Amino acid sequence: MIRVAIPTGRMLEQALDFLRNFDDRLLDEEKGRKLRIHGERFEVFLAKPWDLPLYVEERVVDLGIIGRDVIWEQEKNVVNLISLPFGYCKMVIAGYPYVSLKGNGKEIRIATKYENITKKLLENRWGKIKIIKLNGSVELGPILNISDLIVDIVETGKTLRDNGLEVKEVLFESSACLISNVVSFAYLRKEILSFVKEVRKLNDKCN
Amino acid sequence: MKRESLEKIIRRRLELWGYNEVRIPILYEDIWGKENLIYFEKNGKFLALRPEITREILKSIRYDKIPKRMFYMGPIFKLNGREVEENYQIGWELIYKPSLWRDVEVLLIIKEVFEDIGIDDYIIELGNTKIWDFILRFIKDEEKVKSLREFLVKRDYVSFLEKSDLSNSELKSEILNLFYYDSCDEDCVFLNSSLRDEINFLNSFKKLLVKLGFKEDKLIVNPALMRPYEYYDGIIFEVYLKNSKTSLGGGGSYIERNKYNELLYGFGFAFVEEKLLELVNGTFLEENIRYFVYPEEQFIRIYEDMRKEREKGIISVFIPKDEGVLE
Repeated sequence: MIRVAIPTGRMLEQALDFLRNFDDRLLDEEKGRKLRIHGERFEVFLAKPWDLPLYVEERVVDLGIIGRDVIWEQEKNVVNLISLPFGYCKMVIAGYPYVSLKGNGKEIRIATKYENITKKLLENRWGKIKIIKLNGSVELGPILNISDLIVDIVETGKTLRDNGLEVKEVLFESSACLISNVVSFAYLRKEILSFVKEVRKLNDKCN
Repeated sequence: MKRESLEKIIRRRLELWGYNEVRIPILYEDIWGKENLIYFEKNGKFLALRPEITREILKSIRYDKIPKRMFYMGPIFKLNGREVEENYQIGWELIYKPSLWRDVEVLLIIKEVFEDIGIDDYIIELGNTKIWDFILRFIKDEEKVKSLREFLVKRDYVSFLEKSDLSNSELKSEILNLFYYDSCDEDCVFLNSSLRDEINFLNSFKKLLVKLGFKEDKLIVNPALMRPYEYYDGIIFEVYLKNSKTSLGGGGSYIERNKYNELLYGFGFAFVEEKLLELVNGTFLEENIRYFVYPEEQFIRIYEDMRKEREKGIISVFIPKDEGVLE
């Protein structure tokens, strides 16, 4: 039995539906408020998205389904096996239309939940940036004038538009990914790669 | 006692193979990496606590035509957030020109050490850096090659595929076959003959290890394996224990330039002792110890009895009997 963690929140239904393609028993399970669902092939655990990579790294579970944005941000020691056909979004720089991306030597204040990604991708670009770490509602950064720009994920861009902000640049595209613990990947290599093979077939159908 | 016993067993095994212990300073003057290092500044000179041992040893070794066998045990330091993390690194190196027996010898010692300490559930994952040298040769942009190598080390296959942005579909298909090697059966055919040769070499290396006593299920071939440090060249490997969360350690074949500007070839293995200590079964490490619990004034009378026990190889420890403390 492979232990898989899936994220609660916006991706939960999609992740569960995705796993149901490979484990019929999961169809019978009612989600309710259960945090553990027993299938025939998988034992599924529901985890908070930001905790999920840690569960995989610590080998509490063998596999995890999580957005690439979280994987990049946390840089946990896991195997990022394959991208999955759901959970699409974009990591963007956004701000008010009148704010320029040219630093002009001034310090640029960026509000974000993604401190590492922002540092990695933007520190060398402007030299001087100040990262303001927010845990949610990042759009408030420019609105309350505590930041010039924000770095965040967007799906449709509606929240940005509703708040008068616009996308300045797409940093990268993200989707759900299948990750594995490194030791599980060695010990369950055949099982995990056979699952990946089925996922690839499904991905091909979706494309 | 447990830690010392483990080191004693490893030291004994290495000595039986003709390996000698080397010791190097804990403070480094020549700093090769900056991240997570612990620095000191003295009279304008920067010193750092060593973050690992292997590389520093290699710098000081002279290359000659006969094999050099060495091992080391010692503390290493790094910053983990704001905490100073101290671990104990153990490793062994066989310095000699690239040869099959050299690589096999280092791996056989791992097997024998595991037998000595009673570990039978382990997996050694085998890779070959030449596979990726071949693939990355097709990418001309050096910066891109560097970041692709990093994705391989991090095992981020998704980012590798995205960043490589390969227009050559044949090459892309070969890369997918490498990443998902064990999932392809008859359909996993490597079209390029050089690539095929490197994969075949890796598989024949595994077969040789099986011939020399490794159980087949203890060895897996993962052509996608990559290790940090660019000095690796040839066979590389990672070692996993069943109940661990991460790899115990790893190593492989390398080419490194020493401080005399000579090329040094070798094959080695290193691991952090704490990771092994967490997992070994405590019972095998118990030494044969006899405690002599007597009143202090009887030490001289007891000394002769303890001496006889020690001659038999039994650890003998005098403990003064203090009524009210020890019964």
